[in-house]
Amino acid sequence: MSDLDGNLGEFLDETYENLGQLDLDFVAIEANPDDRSNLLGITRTLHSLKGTCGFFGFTKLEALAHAGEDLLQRLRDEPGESVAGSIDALLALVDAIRRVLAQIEKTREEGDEDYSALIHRVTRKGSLDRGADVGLEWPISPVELRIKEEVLPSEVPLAETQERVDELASGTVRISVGLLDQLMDMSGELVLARNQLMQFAATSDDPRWLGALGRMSQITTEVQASVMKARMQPIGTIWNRFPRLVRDLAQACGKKAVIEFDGRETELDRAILEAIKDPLTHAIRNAVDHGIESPRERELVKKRPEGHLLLRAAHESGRVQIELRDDGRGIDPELIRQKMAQRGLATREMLDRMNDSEVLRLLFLPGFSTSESVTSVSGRGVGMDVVKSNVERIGGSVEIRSRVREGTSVLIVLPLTLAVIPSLIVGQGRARYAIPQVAIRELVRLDGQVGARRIESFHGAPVFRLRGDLLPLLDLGRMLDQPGPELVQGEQALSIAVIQVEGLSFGLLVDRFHDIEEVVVKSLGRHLREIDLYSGATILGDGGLAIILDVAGLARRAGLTTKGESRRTIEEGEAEKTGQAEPEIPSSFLLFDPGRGGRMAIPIEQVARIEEISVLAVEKADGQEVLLHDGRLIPVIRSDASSVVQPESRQERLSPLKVIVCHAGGRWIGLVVDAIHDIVQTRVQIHHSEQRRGILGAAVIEGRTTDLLDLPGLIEVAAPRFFAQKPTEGATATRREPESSHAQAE
Amino acid sequence: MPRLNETRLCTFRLDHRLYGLGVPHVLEILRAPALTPVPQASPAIRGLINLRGQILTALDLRVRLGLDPAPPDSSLMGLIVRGDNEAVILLVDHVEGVLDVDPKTYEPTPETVDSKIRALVRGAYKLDEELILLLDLEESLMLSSDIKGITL
Repeated sequence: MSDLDGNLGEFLDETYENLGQLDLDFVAIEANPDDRSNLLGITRTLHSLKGTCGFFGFTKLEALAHAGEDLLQRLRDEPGESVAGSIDALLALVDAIRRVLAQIEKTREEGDEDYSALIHRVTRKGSLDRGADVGLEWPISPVELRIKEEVLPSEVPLAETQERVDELASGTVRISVGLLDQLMDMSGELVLARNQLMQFAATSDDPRWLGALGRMSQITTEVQASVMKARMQPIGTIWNRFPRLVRDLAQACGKKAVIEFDGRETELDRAILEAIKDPLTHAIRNAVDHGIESPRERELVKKRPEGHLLLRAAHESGRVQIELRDDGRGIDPELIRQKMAQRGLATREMLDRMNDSEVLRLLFLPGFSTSESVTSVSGRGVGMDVVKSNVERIGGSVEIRSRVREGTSVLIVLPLTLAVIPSLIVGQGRARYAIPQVAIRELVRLDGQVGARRIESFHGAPVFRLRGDLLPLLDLGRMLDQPGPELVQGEQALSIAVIQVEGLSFGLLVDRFHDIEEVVVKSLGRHLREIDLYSGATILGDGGLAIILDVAGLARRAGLTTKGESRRTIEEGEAEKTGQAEPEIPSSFLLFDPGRGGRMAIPIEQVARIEEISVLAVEKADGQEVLLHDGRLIPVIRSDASSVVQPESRQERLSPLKVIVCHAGGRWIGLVVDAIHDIVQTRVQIHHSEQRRGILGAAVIEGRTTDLLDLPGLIEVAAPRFFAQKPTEGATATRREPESSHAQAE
Repeated sequence: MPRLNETRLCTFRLDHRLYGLGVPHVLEILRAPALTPVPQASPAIRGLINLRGQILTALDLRVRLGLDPAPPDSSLMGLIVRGDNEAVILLVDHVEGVLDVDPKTYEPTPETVDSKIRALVRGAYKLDEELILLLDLEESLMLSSDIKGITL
């Protein structure tokens, strides 16, 4: 029996997959009725479904498939038949097949719904004389149909042989998701075991042992990468049903709309695919329902009568970008302002101070989206907060851009996989915790003297002054019931992770920062799931455990709620205006003043920490100014390669130096700057106007010309001797080990 | 009445008392597992354990049964049990061994025992010297808020 069950599961999987393809084919045919080549594929799909139904004895499915197959046959043979006129009937047929399948999945029976009227409708569409000679006159007897199959045995084996050949030729096998997940878990374990061995290996210098270990390490990495890849699926698999969705929605709203795709083959972890399905559906629903205008309205503004949606996916810098664009009426920020003010959600002055993109972000506010009056005016907002929270739950972000009368685009950025997330490991008391890196905006470490001045009490609540703004400060130890010494003492150095999550920013005070690690996420047992401070746990390289913090939960626990969004992002139009010469780079940048009031930017990925250090901490080694940072000696430089500490300032003991600790290609340096401005998220276009070493070029950021720092270039210029030998892969690996053990020993 | 498969018991001690759990429930026995505490969790949860790459939750049976907590320096033993779809570790003072018991020696828990405990300990097998209190695994693993009252 269990064997048959397995076959049944496979049958259901395969049939669902085929039906997805059918939907696509139908819509393609409708768009281009003269091209009848698609009909053959559909006929074959229905035919193979019919064949398998016979094997399982599903007579209703068989009759449905047969009716569809027969109609298609006639459409193909007789050019006079109207294809478009038959599509609705065929789509209804596919839906009926789906319903039967759902029933089979639940009960293993076909259920007792009566499909005879539908079959009648489908068969009547075709010309009656041919319908009669293949036995399709009403009522259909399924038994009779099966007998017919048996009478014509030559037809079935032929088709089946062909399919077998196709299956072998494609070189793929079906594999259960459970097995895949298990492989994923085990390869994660393999990586951990490897890491443990590597720590062990640091004590040995036997070349045979190290050689074998090196090979094993390499293979482990490859195994993990391959398993990850096996879990990836092209995003097209969840897009298949969208043409149908758009078609049905448009019809229901009395509109015309089509959807086009770009980047179907973009691959994503299947868990993420699963999680993104609903938000995408929601966004499409919004676009058709509210974004696209009625055909008449569109003609008045000289647009094509049918609305166009474009769904685009692409890999960009280790993440996946999905954009849904429509050419509808767009969203007028002024209307949002009015509504917000009317409903008393914000004061008029506040709203006027916000720029348009900030106003658009208000659409994500939960209270905002539920009001019908707002959506009917603004054209958007039904459940955009749901879209946002769904996307954020899997470590992604959403943004809305819109131009009045031109259209709206929803931009979703997602991580590639959920199974492994880069996280900052922090120490608190004797325990270690992991904070997903996506939530971390920056890390700040203050030495005792400076720290005492930066932490203030806001009527008893600690706040922290970051470049002039007050950030609420949460003490991780206190939140976890492990109160440490009083916060504002100014004795110990303070480690603050600046967190940005769900539109709020706060500083999280921890005991220590350790390394950034790629952690394999494990879910917590059912006894711990209800604690909203944690989102899982992980095993670290040394075999110890770290609980993964849910920073959104921490914020809620501390009573922080969304009030505004991150203060600054830059409208995309800005970069477009300035020229087209070079490719756009979307990224986050840290803006700073390198000295004498200039403006420079460095990609945030290259920034490890921002610190304030005493002038006295800078020492000289071999003619290079260096700094002991976290147990590692790093060169400190200025962006113009001049010396960091002028002789006179050493005597005067001027104010502390602001140092951006950054890294490129495994090399770490401290960049001394005059002031830190801000972090901005933007797309920039680089103009190679300047050919200075250490400068990548100039870009316009926030309306001002800003030099982009070329860190590797700068290292060559400013500290040429310190990194005389470029570290090889192996050398970085072994160098990193003592680092982390140092961190744990702290 | 005891369930059919509960005449072969894994026996262990908590605060000198003898308890038993049906052998089929117990997957493995651990000696002095290393615990990673979980702040803010229910007091019956002692922490997390890394069991060959699986992360399991460890419940302190003493706390669960309303006994005094074990002294902090005592080395506990862990029974890995299979609950609803997931393995959980029960921390006990000491695992005695496996014992076949005679179903005829079974007695249900007397009414005088606190009703909350009666849900956990349904009955006992009478040995010559002492009683083996039979633990109900599913109930032991329930830590919903209504039970928290007695664990506190």
